[in-house]
Amino acid sequence: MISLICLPIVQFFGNYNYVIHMVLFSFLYITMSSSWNIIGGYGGFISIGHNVFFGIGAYFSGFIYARYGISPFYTAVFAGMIATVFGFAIGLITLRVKGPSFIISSIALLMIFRTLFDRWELVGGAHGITLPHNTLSVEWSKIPHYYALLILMVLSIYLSWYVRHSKFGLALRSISHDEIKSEVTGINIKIIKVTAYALSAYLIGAAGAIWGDYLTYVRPNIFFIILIAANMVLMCILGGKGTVTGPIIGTIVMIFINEFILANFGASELNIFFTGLLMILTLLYFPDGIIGSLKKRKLLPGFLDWG
Amino acid sequence: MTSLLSIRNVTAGYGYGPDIVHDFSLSLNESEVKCIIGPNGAGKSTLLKAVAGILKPRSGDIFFEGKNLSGKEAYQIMRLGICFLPQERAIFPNLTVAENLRMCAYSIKDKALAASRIKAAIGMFPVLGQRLKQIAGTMSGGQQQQLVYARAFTIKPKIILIDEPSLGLAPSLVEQTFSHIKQIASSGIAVLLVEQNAIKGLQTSGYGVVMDLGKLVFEKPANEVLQDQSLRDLYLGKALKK
Amino acid sequence: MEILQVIILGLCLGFVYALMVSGLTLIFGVMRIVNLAHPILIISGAFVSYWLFILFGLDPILSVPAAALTVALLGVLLYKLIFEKNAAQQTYSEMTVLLTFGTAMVIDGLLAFLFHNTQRTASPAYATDAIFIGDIFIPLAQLYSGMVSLGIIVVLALFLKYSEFGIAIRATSQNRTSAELVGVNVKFVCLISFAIGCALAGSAGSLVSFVFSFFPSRHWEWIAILMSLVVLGGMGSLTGAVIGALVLSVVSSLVGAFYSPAWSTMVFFLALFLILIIRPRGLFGIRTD
Repeated sequence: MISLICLPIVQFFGNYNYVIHMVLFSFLYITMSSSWNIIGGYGGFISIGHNVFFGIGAYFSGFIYARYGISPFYTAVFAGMIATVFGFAIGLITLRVKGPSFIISSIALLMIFRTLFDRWELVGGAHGITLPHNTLSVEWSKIPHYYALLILMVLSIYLSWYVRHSKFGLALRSISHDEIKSEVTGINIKIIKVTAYALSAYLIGAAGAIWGDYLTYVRPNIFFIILIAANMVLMCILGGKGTVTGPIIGTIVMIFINEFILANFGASELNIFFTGLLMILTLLYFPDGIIGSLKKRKLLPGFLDWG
Repeated sequence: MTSLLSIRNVTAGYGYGPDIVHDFSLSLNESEVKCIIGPNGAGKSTLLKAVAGILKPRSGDIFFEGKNLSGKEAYQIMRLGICFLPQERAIFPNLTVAENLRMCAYSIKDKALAASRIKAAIGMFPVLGQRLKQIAGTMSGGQQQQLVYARAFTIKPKIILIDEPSLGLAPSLVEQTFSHIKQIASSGIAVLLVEQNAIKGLQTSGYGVVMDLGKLVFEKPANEVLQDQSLRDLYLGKALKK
Repeated sequence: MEILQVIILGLCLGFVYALMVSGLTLIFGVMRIVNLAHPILIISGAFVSYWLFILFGLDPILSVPAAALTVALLGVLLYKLIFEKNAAQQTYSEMTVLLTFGTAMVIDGLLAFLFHNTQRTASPAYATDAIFIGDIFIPLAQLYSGMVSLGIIVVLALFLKYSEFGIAIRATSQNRTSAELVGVNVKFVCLISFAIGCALAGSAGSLVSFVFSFFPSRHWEWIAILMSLVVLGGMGSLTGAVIGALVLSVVSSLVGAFYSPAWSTMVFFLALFLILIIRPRGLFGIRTD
């Protein structure tokens, strides 16, 4: 943890932007996959449209920045709230179905948002919003994002840990096993499900706001693509969905693999290929993920066993 | 003498669950009718499923006409001549009656033979002949029951396994169902019956097999079982005491 | 008159859509697999016809069998490698959906790597032609593709309705255990149904190659479109899928013509979303879970 806080010091000794970029990219995805894990892992509702909230957060803060000049670093908190409100509203509608129907409805949701933002002229249509660069020098320009995403990541892990060990999380996991039995035991399943969904939207929305500023543009074909959601899902499954440390490990492994592929094959099309292949192999031979499998065999080292 | 069906030391259960049927052995000769009775959870239905190949036995062997059935798929076992009628009505509710009959004869490769068998079955159950175009699920319970038993006359198996034929049926339908079973038995097909309604079941059968906790308790001629006083109390319920 | 024109065009496209979903609904019916890889299989078929046209000048309509066969073989391969274990259990689970999702990504990545994400259309001579009936003009591409689709669907329907194997397919999709108990080799039925479903995707691809412009990544959009059609018609029902396809295609054409073409695809997405939420069983009833 301390080493992560201190890591930007390397910039005093030269330009390590690539390292910084990779680490903050990991922060971003750990935030997203840990958040996804709340509804997808504990709750068992597999959403392949969860980056809708990522886009909503990015568009909210990006629009305010472009129009009123208020930096996303201040508005990220509100971007998260907006995402939560949307999460609540959408959750009320979509969480009535489960299983494969829910997966399909999440894809439909993503397509609806993609189409809306592609056509919505106020926020730039398909071209999206372009944001001003920050005024820091090249070495230091990534540092604010670094710390912002670090904070979000820590929050997301804490949230995930908290949910895992709370009564709320227990109810959520019982819903994922059997909705009807849970309801009979007196759990208000609707409130629990929708709250979990909205909760998982919050940090993803906030992360979207920061990421929009980092990229300096917010476009539908960057934020509303299914690959982002696929990554969230795969990272959780690879690491072990429904565990606290699974998404973290899964994300780190995935990012290494992605970088390896990019470095050796170059083409980003192959990245999709390998992501898909990894997903198939994990599901077929490794459905409990890294953490889950280790736990089953009682090989999980104590420092990774957070529940 | 080797019997038609011989179940040898079969142990079976579901998924990772406990053994339901435990080290069970039983044999059935040609044209013989045996009824397995016993309390709920004794493993009667599980045993039939294991014979039919829907459930793979954990250990033990099942021989049919001297052939070992282990490792065979349910459809292969059926094609050898063991027909299984499960508890839930074994028809295709969204297919028409004619299509259901065609499915009954699916395993008969000779199409002319299949057609003549279907015709014969319709001859025995004329109601079906009048309703060939009707969707099977929309027929009355009694008519659906006829469709189920028409299968036995279409494929003419060597053995028919029947699981709880009277379960959930109205009294009049129970009578009808047992008359179908008697018809089957009198046509020379061996029957292995599992039945809660023990009196009816035993009256239809030659032998009674009592099963409890997955094990064979004893096997006797059916009329002796019916008269056995201790057994009445134990397995057949108080209603029979009168 | 204009409205009639739009409806006729919508119907022509509707039959193409119906062909596109017929395989999806067949596979769902027999195996309860929601095959998210179906649209990318359609695009694979489109590539077969496209290259046959570009390299040998073969008319895409004539290459329907070639595309169907190629994609069917690809389907058998996928089935053996990925789905056999799950199909045997007929589990309607998230896991199989994610497996098909991964499969879609694999094929998408491979096609995009080989052929890049550039828009393509096969352009046979009739692609730019049209016939006039009174005031109504019908582009030949749409007309031919609609008619070929209709033909294939009718053949499929007759096969399912009257052939022994077709009845076995329907029986299996109703009750797998019962089918096995009358002697149906259910695993074989699954394999063949999957192959037929993929062949239908391939043949739809041939028609897509000259009716739409296509590129590998376009399948994400088609996933949602095709799902909306089957969900409207009720998963697993061929009649429902055809009706769903015709209805939504016409509505989408009307929106495109009288409101704005930019919003025409939104009809599918909104319909999918709303139907799943309001009536998870689909409007025409056959179960989805």
